[in-house]
Amino acid sequence: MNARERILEKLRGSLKGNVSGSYYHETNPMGVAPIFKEGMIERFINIMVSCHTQVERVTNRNWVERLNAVMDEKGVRSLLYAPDSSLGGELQNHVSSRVKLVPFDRPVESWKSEFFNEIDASITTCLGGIAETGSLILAPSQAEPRSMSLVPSIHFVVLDEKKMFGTFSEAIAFHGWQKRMPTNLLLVSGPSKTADIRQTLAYGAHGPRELVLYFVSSR
Amino acid sequence: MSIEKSADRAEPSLKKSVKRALNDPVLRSNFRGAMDFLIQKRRAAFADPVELEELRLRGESIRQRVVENLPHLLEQLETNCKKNGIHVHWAETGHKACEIVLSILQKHGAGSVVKGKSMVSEEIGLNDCLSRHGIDCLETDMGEYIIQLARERPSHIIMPAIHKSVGEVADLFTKHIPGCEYTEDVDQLILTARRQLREKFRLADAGISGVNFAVAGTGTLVLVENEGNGRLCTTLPDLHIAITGIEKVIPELSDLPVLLKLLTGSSTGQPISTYLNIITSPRKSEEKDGPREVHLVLLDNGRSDAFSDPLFRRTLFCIRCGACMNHCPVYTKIGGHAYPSVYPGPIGKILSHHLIGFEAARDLQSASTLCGACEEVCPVRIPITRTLVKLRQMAAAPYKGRAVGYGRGESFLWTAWQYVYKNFRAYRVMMFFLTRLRLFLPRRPGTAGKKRTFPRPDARTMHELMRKTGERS
Repeated sequence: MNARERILEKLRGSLKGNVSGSYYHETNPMGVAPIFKEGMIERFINIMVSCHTQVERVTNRNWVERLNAVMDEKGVRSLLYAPDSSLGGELQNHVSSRVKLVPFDRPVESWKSEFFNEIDASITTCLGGIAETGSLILAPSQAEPRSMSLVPSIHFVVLDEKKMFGTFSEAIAFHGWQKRMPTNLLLVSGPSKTADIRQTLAYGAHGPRELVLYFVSSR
Repeated sequence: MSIEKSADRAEPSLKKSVKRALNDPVLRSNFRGAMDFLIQKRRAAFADPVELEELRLRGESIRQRVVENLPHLLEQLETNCKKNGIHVHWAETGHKACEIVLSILQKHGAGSVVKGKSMVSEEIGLNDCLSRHGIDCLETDMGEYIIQLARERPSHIIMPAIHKSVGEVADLFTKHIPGCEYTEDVDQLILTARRQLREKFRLADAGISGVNFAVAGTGTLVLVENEGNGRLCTTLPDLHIAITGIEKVIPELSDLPVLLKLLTGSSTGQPISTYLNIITSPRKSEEKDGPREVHLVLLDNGRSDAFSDPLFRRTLFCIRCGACMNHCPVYTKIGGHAYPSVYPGPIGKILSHHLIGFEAARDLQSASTLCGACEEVCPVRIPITRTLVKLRQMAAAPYKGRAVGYGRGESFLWTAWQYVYKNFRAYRVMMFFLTRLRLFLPRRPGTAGKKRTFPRPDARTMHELMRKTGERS
């Protein structure tokens, strides 16, 4: 018997005939029906803002223009993007001439130094937003690798209002993740922070110092 | 106060460390402030008591289902992790777990390792083990980074450097970080640490992390954090090793939202942490980042011993939120370092004897007033006071009625008390001494403070007065 067998054997022996077998959460299942449709967007934006996310309300037509304006304000000179994402085309055509567009088109090992030191900001899509907690759902992919939303100091995200969920449970049910998970699923709820020193909240710990959300509505 | 990290070192006795902590006004003030802050945050997060109770019932129920089906869930977790490309290892002891991690790192030729926050790694003394074998393991969580510089161990399971004042942190940085000037500006200090650690993240060969929840149904690891260091440790290096206790598994992804809400709300009063990092597999062939190799180490280290007793089993419901210690009147006074165990506070008191043995953890059971504040706030409703009482009974058994810390003097007093209260005449005599002669009464009220005086008892006892009244009527 190896360690695995011994551990499992010990557990089985202890639990024999010695369990309740009935569980409150199973006899009283919670529904995943969306609870707050009304005012959901406002709630979502308020929570994000209270956690220091900069929220820009835009339309499909003007988001790049607004992106350029914010990048100018923040002095962003290089922007990491995913050419194969839904944003790729628009960015290539309309991004400010002052900003160098850098594609994430090769494995991270081949350019780690440049990635860490020469990229001012990155821009990604997201799968949706969760109103209850003010969170963005990111599912990194071949086009948008995991570290895009992690290493650069400023992270821009574009979210369409049609992709809003009330709760995390709702998003799980909708996407069927119980059956099949993406390689890495992320919920991002603001710029990085810590209160480890004298319980004083400080932003910009190790992840991005700034999170800017472009919330796209039809109006 | 510097206590070196080691799972094997004998810690000072609880009494000594308690005394030292109580006489440290800076420590006491730091802790009081910190605990008040965390208590307020939690209270604000769970403003609706009805909703909170419902959440706690569900949280308890999910954890009960886990613990009562653990063998099956662990097997399911292993199967699904393997399907996803995650290697799974089983370790019966902390020592074995260290060996496993070491051998993975050595096989990979990893020289520099970055580590996210993991209480399990503290439990097994991983950093010490790795450094003995020439592997540099750098803590990247801000709090853990600070105490690693100070060569101390964590004093709280969520905020490890909670006992450190800003000045102490500033001193540490000035001393250990080249080019760092003294400043008490928290934002500046954080920026310094960020810059310092960024290079380490970039160059690390391997990342080590804990696991908050391991989802059996999908073979998934869930990590909760605010800083981003956990993601950096588990995304950039080519190798990721995750270590967890066997009780951290949960059945399905749909069980996660309830437990997550309870965890973040109870520990720091947030609806959710900044990052929720849900890892299901290493880098796939077409992907451009992520570790190529992911390992999961499942640690027993005495947890399976808790299973035979249905009451002790509930200790394993713990989701490591820290709320119990935030609300504990004992912990608030003495801080985490006074406890001889890796896990301090109420959860430490009921968990430690499984991890380090009954003898080593003996003193812990008496370090409680049984006020029950801990179990009122426990998100998964662990019956902490009942467990403590049972442990005290067990501790008392080999000492023939004399419980822990029961000296001869106390023993004599209780025997004398028993005699006096069973014996009518002896009782009357004692009362005479106390009331008429006012002997054997303390002059000062002791714990009530120096400003108070002891009240003067009446010259007649209540019994006498009632007898007089009874005779008249």
